[in-house]
This record gives sequence, C-alpha cells and structure tokens, in this order.
Amino acid sequence: MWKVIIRRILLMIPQLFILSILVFFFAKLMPGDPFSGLIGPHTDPHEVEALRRAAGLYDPWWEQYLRWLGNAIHGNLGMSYNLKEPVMTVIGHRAINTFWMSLLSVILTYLFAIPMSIVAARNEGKWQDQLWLTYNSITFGIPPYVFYLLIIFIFGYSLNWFPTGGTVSPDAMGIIPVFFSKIYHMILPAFSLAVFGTVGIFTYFRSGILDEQTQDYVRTARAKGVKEKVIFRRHILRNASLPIASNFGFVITGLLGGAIFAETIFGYPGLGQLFITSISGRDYSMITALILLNGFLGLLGALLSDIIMAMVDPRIRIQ
Amino acid sequence: CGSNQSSSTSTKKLKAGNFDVAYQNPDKAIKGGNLKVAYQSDSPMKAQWLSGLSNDATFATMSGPGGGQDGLFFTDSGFKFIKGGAADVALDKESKTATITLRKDLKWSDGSEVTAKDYEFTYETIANPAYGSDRWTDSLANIVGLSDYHAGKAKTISGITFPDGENGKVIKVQFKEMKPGMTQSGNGYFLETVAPYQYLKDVAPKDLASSPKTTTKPLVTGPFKPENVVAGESIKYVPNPYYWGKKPKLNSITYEVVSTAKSVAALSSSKYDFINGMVSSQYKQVKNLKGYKVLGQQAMAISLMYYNLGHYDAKNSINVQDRKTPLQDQNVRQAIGYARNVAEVANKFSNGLSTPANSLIPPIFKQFTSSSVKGYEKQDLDKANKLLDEDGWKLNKSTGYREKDGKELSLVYAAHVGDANAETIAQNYIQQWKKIGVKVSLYNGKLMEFNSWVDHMTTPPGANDWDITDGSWSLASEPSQQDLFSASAPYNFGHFNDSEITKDLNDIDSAKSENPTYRKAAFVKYQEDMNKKAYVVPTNFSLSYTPVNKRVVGMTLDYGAMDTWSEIGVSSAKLATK
Repeated sequence: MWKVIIRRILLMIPQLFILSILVFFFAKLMPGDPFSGLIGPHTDPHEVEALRRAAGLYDPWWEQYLRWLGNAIHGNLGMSYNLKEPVMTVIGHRAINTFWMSLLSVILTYLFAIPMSIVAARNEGKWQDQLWLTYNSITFGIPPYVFYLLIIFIFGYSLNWFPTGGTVSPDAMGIIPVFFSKIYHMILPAFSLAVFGTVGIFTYFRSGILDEQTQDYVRTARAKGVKEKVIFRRHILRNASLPIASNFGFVITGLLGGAIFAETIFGYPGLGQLFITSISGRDYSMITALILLNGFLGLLGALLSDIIMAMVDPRIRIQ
Repeated sequence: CGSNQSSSTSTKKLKAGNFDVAYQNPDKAIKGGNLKVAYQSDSPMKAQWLSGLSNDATFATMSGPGGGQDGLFFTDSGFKFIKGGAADVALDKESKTATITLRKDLKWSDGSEVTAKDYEFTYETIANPAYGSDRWTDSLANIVGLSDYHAGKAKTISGITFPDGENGKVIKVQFKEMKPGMTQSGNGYFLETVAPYQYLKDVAPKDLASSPKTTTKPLVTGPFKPENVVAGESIKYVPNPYYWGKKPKLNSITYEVVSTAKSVAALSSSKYDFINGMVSSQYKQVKNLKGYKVLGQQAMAISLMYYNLGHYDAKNSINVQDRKTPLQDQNVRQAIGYARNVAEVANKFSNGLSTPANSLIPPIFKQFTSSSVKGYEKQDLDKANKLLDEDGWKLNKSTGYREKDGKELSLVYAAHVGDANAETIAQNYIQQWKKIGVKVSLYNGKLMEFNSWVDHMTTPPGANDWDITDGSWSLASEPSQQDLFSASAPYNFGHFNDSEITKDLNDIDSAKSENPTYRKAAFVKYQEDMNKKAYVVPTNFSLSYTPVNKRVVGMTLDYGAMDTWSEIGVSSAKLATK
C-alpha cells in the first residue's frame, strides 16, 4: 500500500504542473491587470507603466511562467500585488480562519445529517421521511446564499444573538477573550453552512440504509433472531456508511477549500473571500497560488478517500 | 490629503442638494460613550498606517480617528490650507520654498516628539523604489533633488532641509518652480503627512509594508489611537493621551467593514452610528430608516461623455487629434450633447443624488467655478437639429438619419457596465440621438465589461473602433485638470489637442494665477471654452450621503471641519431606534 501511496503522490507533480500552466495562461487572458485599479488623475501613468514593467507583465506569458516556476520550486510563490505581502503569509492567515470555521461546520453537518437520514430511512414513506426529503429538496433547490442572508437577518439583526460579520470582536483583547470571541463569530456561518448543506450526506446515507436493509445478510440475521436494534447498529449502519466514508478524504481537504458564498456574505475573511477579491483585483500571484492549493487539495482528497476506504472496507485493497 | 476633520458654527447651515451637511442634534452629548461606525466594502480593509505605502480607500477613511495616516494641515471647506493644524505651511515665491513648521507639542501616540525627519521620511518611502510604493508622481519631481533620489542617483534629497536639525520642528522644501495650486491640499507638489522615523528606521524597506509597526501596532498623531487592529476587519480606537488638540469626548470608537448586502439591515437594527461609503442605489432603502438622519455632501467627482478624436503618441507623450470622423466638427459634438436628456435621467434613476453638470468643475470648488457657466444640462433638440442643419447634415426621410456627401451620420457608443440601470440609460440616449437623426449603436451591440473598457481606453495609442464613451473621475482637492485634458494627458481618452484649451490649462497653473481672482477667472474661461468646443461633455455632479444615528452629536460631512473626531459624541449609551 505504501508504494501505491508514494506513486500517487509522485503522480501529483505532473498533474499540478499542467494545472499551473493552465491557470497561468487563463489568468493572463482576463482583461485588466493588478495595476488597472491604480489608474486615475492622481496617479502618474508613467509610474503605472513602470510598475507593470518592473513586475514583468510585458514579458511573454511563458517567460513570466518560467520565472514564477523557478521561484515556486524554491517555495516562494511571490508577493501579492494588491496586498503587498508574501502570498504564503496571506494564505496562511486566511487558511487558519477558514480551517476552524470549516471544521465546525463539518462537525455540525454530520450532527444534523446523520440522525436526519436514520430517522428518514427507518420510517420510509411515512411523514418523518417526507418531512426530511422535502427539507433537503428545498435546501438543495434554493441557492444557499438566500438562506444565509435570512439567517443573518433573523439571528444577527432581529434577535441580536450573534455577530454578523468578521472573525473576532475588536473589543476582545487577550488570549482567552479572543478565543471565545472567535468561536462566537464562527457559530452563525458554520451553523448556516451545516443546516443548509445536509443534502449530500442525507441522500447517500438514507439510500445506503434503505439498500442495506433488503440485503441477504440482514434477512439471515433476522432469521437467526438477532434483535432489530443490533442488526441496525452492527450491520446496516456500518455498511451504509461506506459511501460517506468514500467521500471523507474530500471532506478533510475541503476544510481548506474555503466557502466562497458564506465567507463573502458573512464578511468572514477566509480563503473563499480571498479568492474572489484576488480575481476582481487581478492579483495573479494570489489567484495562481489559490488554484494550485485547491488542485493539490483535490488530488490529496482523492488519495485520502481511497486510503480511508481501504481501512474501513476489508474487501478493498489499494493496489 | 489626510487631514483631521471639525465643525465651526458658520458651516452648520450648509446644504448639499436637499441634504443637510451637518446634523444639528437638539440633545446634549453624554460624558464618554462608545461610537460604532462602519465602512461599506465587499473586500477586507488593508490596514497600512503609512500614507506613502497605502492604497486602500476603505482604510484611508477608517484611519480618520487616528489622524488620517497622519495628515498635518488644516484646510477650509474648499481645501485651501489654513493655519491651526498639526503643522503650518508658508510658501515663499522669491526663494521658491515651502516652510513647514510642526507644532511644538506635536507628539506620536507613544509620547515621542514628531520631528522634521519624520516629515522627510514620507518622501523616502514614496521615492525610494526599495519600499515598493506606487505613489510616486511627476509633480514630486518639482522638488529639487527628489527625482535624483528616486532614480538612485543621490543618497539624500537635496531639496529638503532642516534649518534647526533633523530633530527640530522646521522643514524647508526647495522647489524648481512655484505653482498656484500649492495653496490647495492634495496638490501633489509636496506631501502632507509624517511617518515615525525613529520607530521604523530599523525595519528593512522591503518588510516595511507588512511590518506590524505599520499595520497593527502603529504610532499616530490624531485624537484617537488604535488599541486593536483586526486585520481586514475592524479597528478599535481609544483617546490618544498625547494628542495636541481638542480632547475627544468619546471613550472609544469601533470602526468595522460591513458588506454591501448587509449594511441596510445593519442600520435598520441600529448596529452602527453611521456607515460611510454607501452607494446611490441603496438610498431608497435608507432615506426613511427609523432612528437615522441622512446627511449629504457634494462628491468630489465628475462624470462626462468623451468623443474619440485621435490617438495617443506614447513615444512623444502627446495626444494627436487626427481621426477621420464627423465628430471633428464642433457642431456635431455640440448637437450630440444637446440631444441628451441628462436631467430626466438623473431625475428618474439617481434618487436625487445626481444633478446635471454645467461644467467640468463640481460646485464644491466654489472658489474656482461659477453657476453662470452654461453647459448641456437641458435637452434642446431644436438647437441640436439646427446645429446639424447648419453643418450640412441633411435628413434622409426614408432612413430617418442624417447624411452628408452620401455618408450616414452613424456612431459607435462604447458604454460600459455600471449599476443596474446602465443599459437602460445607454439605450435611452441612443433613442434621444435618433430624434436628431444621429444613428448610434452600442459597441459590439452590448455594454462593455468594465476591465475591458479600461484596457480599451487607456492602452496607447487608443482604438479607432468607437466614437462616444462615458467616463467618470474622482477629483483631487486641487482641481486643476492638466492630468485629465492636457495635450500630454494619457487619460484624455478622446485625444483632443487644442491650443486654446492648452493655453487655458496652463493659465490656471501659471504664476499669474497665484492671484486668486485671476485664477478663478482662468478657471471660468477654461470651463466655458471646454463647453463651447465640446471635446468632452459634462454629464453629472453627484452627492454622497451618510445615514447618521440620532444619538450622534456633532456630526458633519463638511470638508472644512477639522476637529470632527474630537467634537463627535453621543447623547445616550444605546443607539436611537426612533
């Protein structure tokens, strides 16, 4: 298995290499550049020109690419044009915000989705099932940002229970107040992501349970007189969780993916929001780094999922 | 410019359009109180307390309570320097110098003295490429020795000297030539801020922009100092014990970034005392909010219509007016201007926040403009038709469009994406132009994406595939328009080059214009000539507005208010809801 894992990791190198070329090329096709925003009667156009020249934006794209690649190999992804800080520093700060909020939201998502699926599957066709099916159809059908706005409006503005933006209150000073303020600030976005993000798990898990319930081994167990509760817990649930487990690698790497809509609407400065502002500001170095990060996470997620599957399902072996 | 703000009794009755500029709260301020304010933006603020390295408009406003990135000078509401600020400036025509004298009691927020070197250091951060600033402009080259320093040919700036030493309070700036605009804040010929040299001198230039000393743990000179800066999000201010001026009334100010989608809801649940930077499309939702009073002010901005008349010769840095187009006839340009119904459009779509512009200088610069200047504010189809008739453009009854020498009067309108009404407004103008027999079609049949439009307009030598476009500029507090319309201005999208306009522009910046009466007359002549020649046609002036909670005392948007952050208070501990 280790051989396979190492081979898969080595394979990522050419994949990321191709991705980086594509990103670099397409980013340059966007109209405008990082310095377009500086244009105004207060700025000297010759100076803007000089900045563009100094940044090498007039060189052919492949030349710019090779320069970037040379630096990237040495672990230097460049400076952000707009934020004037090293790309890695900015991503590092934002990644911490995104990671904790995503972690909280993933935990909450499972806490909501799993009981929901069990209740629905065990009461197939009854009102409980109908209720959760309808709920998930609605949350799947309506764009989530509509719900996010609604949640902010109700819990943030009308009831005043939670803060409505940011990661921490400016009044919080010292380690412990800052810690609690950070948790308090991520509850609302994480909760919203979780409550309206159950549909994936719900669909897989519910149908998984339904499928397993009709399997031969369940019938055998019943015939042997095993208690219904035990059958459900020991046999059905275990097997029905396989489709979810197969996705788990992506869930782990997705913690750093960044929630574009939620972060933008909640004003939560994470990687998702950074991605959007980088694109609109034509911050090439940042865009390239973020897409590569996401590409890497995607590949890593697939690998992790395979490893997890091999661990939970004895029939599967990585070869 | 980065000056503090304030109110004087004479400015309290100021009006902008139908708005009050200052809020006259009948209630009295309580002792202390915590003010909660926000700036509307969909991207995080980028805290950078050195003006030379900062380029974030959101933060520029949010740094106000701390002294606005350490502005030195007070100005009147027309942005002219006045005495009484953290420093005074005296200009001397004979010796071609500006003498800047810092207050004796001017201190940084850690109690250390602000020195002459601190003033000079801002020039270093801008002119020394090692700091990576994007604020260098050619106007600064008018200071003796500064371009040599910028180019790395000199280690020090020879034109900036300290009569009583680096640690003294006096700085002498030697210019190559004096300019009449030097009496105005924002003139760009000399800088108006200080930076704490002693505090920063050990930070390597390339690390300065990201150092905590310039981002989260800065020194400031304003009435408040930042106690906590949350990167991207918010700043908490407390009074600065070393502030030289009026002691603030408030105990603290929290200044946050609020996203566009949330700001109206935040106001309706009384989250903020006021929000800066709201846009005109939100005004309808804001104007009747309970617990708030909406203040307004003239925006330092102008929108206008351009005609494409030539190209930009980048090699010689000059506009060449050589394009073959019917727009070379003054009559045609004027007719297209008169055919627009700008007043109706402003009425219908701007919620009272735009007014038709009579000239290229907004009325906030009342010392440089006159309401007697007549432009294209009123639609006049008869006049437009007459102008085209005179010019020999005959109406072809079968097509409905005018022709001359067998060629139809047909133009391409490079309108760009803007707010939700942009397309409707562009189509409306096309219909108006049809009424005078001018055929206008959109560039590629649709609105241009904004970044593509900027590229298309600003990349030399300029494109030949459009005839009309719209632009808008925010203006500096020194209103000379050399940068926009001189023969060498690359942002002169239409590339007109007219000796009379060049003369007008130079006259505004000439030695004679050091006399204010002369300068005003020169400005008025320039505006009249621009309207007559119609190389560009002014469209709108606009108003900005700020909703203010009714508990706030002492709030004003007057540009000449210099102590606002000290004067501002609250009448109760909780925000007003009625």
